[in-house]
Amino acid sequence: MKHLTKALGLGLAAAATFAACAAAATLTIGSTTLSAGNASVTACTSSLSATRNVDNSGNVTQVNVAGIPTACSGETLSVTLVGSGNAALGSGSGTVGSCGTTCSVTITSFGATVSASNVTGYSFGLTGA
Amino acid sequence: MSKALKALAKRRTLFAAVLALTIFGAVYGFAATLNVGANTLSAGNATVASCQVTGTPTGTYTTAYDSTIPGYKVASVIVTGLDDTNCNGKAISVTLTGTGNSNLQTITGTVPASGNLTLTPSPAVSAAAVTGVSVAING
Repeated sequence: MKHLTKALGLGLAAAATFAACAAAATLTIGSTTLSAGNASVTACTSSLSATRNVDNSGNVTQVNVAGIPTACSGETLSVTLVGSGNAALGSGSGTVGSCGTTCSVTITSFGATVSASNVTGYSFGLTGA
Repeated sequence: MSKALKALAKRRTLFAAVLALTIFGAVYGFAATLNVGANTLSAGNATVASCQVTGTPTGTYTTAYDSTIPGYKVASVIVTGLDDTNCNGKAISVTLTGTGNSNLQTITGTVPASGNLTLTPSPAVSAAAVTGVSVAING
């Protein structure tokens, strides 16, 4: 009987020790939330060209952008008149309306009087609706 | 005879004592020179949840002419459709990517209560170079 009691006690102690060790090895961890995703940014056109109208004073009165693909319909077209050293002489914008085979936009306001002789180029920007 | 036995017993006791000391010393010496260390090891699992339960974050852009490019730059990136209920106050990273998924610029901010966030790239990023956008929210 004594031997049995001793054996049981020893077994119980060993079991308790192993249980404690096993509990210590288990780590409860948490995590904050994490969300991520990607999206493509597509362009409706890669090339635009423009013409300009000039008044008797030699100032630009309007810029005409034609041949805009219909895929750009509904987008906002910004045009900057560029001068020497890539300086911005004036900018204006318009909405590409719904159209047939191609679209066109006419911009008549540039925020400043721009002399046509100073214009060395146009810069375009199209942003989606 | 009795004296001889006593002497023998004494010698045996002495021998046993010396042997015991020798063994103890040897073991103690080994034990003292063996430094065994162990790093702690713990392991567990946790689920990584997403705070974006409803809605789809969508990037829209404004542009402005920049003479240093020269051309149109991305003036601002507007992320709409953020889950304002679950993501409010969490850190957000928006990366504009270019050809070959290159990182043109990463802009960071915090998801506002409105769910719509406006970020301004700096330095300027050419609008023509942007081919994609990546968004990550964590916190």
